[in-house]
Amino acid sequence: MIRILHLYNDLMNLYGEYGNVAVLADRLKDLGIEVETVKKSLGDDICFSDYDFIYCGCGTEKNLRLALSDLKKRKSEFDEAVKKGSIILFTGNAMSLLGKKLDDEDALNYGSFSSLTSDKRYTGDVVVKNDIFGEVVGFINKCILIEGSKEESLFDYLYKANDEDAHVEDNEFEGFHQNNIYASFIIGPLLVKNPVVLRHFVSLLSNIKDFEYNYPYAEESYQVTLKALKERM
Amino acid sequence: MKKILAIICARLLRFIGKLFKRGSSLPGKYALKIDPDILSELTLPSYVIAVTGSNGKTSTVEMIYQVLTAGGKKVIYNKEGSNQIEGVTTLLLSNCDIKGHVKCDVVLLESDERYARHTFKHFQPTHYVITNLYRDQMTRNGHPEWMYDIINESIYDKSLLILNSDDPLVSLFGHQHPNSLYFGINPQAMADDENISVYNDGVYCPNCKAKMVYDKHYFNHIGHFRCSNCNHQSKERLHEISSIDLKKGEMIIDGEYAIKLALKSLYNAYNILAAYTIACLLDVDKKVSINTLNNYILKNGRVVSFLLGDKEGTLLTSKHENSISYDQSLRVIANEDRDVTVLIIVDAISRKYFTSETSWLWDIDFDLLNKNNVKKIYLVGAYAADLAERFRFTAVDQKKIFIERDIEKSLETLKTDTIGNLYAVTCFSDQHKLLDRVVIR
Repeated sequence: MIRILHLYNDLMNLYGEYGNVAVLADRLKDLGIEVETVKKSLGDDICFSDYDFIYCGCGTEKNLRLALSDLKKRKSEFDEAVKKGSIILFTGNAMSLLGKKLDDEDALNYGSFSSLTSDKRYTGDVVVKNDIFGEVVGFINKCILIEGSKEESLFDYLYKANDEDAHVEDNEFEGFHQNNIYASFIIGPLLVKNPVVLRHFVSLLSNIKDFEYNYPYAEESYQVTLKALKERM
Repeated sequence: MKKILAIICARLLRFIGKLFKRGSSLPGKYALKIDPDILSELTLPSYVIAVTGSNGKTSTVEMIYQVLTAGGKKVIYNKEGSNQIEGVTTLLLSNCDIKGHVKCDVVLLESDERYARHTFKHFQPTHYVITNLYRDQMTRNGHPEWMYDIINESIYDKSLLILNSDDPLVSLFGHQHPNSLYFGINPQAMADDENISVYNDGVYCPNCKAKMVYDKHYFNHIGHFRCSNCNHQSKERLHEISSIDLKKGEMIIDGEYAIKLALKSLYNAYNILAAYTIACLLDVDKKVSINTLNNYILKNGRVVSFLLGDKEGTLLTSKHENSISYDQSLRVIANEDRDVTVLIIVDAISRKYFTSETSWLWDIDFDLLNKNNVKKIYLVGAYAADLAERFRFTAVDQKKIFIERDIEKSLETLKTDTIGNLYAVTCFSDQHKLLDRVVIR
């Protein structure tokens, strides 16, 4: 059985991020694997090591602070899960929880990058790329700039919308990857929108490399967006 | 001198613009270039009413206009929906004399929530209605708390705030601005409802972030609430909906005034109540207000009856990137007893800008369509596959779902295959793709 933890489900679920957990569980079940999804939030007892996959999505800036404050109190248990090999995926501004600092506050310190909050917001469609996933589409909606070494960044940007409403020039640091920890500032159900990324996590969790993977609507959704964004490159 | 020049320029451009049926922002834009302080230099009437919020601005403003006009007041408002500073400037300069005296009893403004802070630097409303703050157009707006801070910059002490008591984020403005009063639903007004939305933005107090307690949950974070920690709670209502039956489309205001709802949705009821509250504050006779609002059918094209071949249809215009707007439309359909076919079109996400962002589909409660009388659901447009994938995660029988990327083809099919009444749900950005191909009734 695969156990999935949707962490801070009622606090960090600003852009439909619960879809990431739902689609992952769905695909694993389609492979005949039993899946249990558990939601935990502030004040709950959480034994992180009980879970094979720990997901946290995006929240408001205030909610991110609450999540950080709560998670720091549980750092040793969280460390244990990381060491044990639980797969971690944090998306949207939850990525900032994994870095060294969020403004003046210490974060969980898995990455050496720091997050700086701005009073302006960067919003825009993006296409990013790396060797693991290929081209990934999504949307960034943040008021945080990342300071860190580009080597730690998970993705390279291929396209960033920069219209009049993208008030803040974003920097080039997008996403974070270290062993079994993954993060991206892309908001929303990015696993739904990017079948290759989803397949990667399905494969990691199921320990199956080759399996039939046929979800035409998800694939079409990805292709429609990729085409629309590439036309703007 | 600059003032006079700006006024003349605006009026001239407005005149030319009307001849060519052009938008109403341009005259204001040029007037502001000539005299950036023109708005501060005008003499405004005793009442300047502004309406902002995520949803229902246009409808609320339209109803306020109708009740105040019925009450004998001369009202000017930005009916063309130009709700940023340029549009407001055009409106005021088109209705003032050469000395800058605005000639009316009431200036009524629909104010864009992001830009109100720029407009109200120059003058401030006497009455400032804030309807609600939802997840709306977040590709531009960030999120509701971000919008709260932006709207807060547009509020000055001299304005009387008229706030939705049932929206925890909106009513929070009253903590910082004591010159506030509230409208809302009496918690005894309707049978128990539960929050059946996909997400809940009312879990944590927007003031202190402790857990909230809801005695009644109308939809999403809207309800009768109190914080478990601080003093933030639903406020005492100056005017209220005392009872409401959405199925029958009836409500009672202030315990005595019955209103028939042309559109049977709760947020239409809130908009009506907001208009009624303003009318009371401006001393419009209550019976005149009620008569005007009774069975009032919005003229802003949000609900359109049409014929597709011989099939009867109703368009419920909803806002893309706004799940609560969609949920309200889906609730109207869910309240239907007749057999229905549903058409959902997501083709261009916005008419004003490009984005391919579809996360908002995951915030819509499509399970509202999981009903026996919903016979077929057509998912149509460029983002039909996004919709189809979203529907896989509902309890809706997948056999009822039909996917079509081409809108015209889907309408041809629906001419013969519609079962019962056809409900179309889509946005302003896509609705013409339907309305251009049907007979509007």
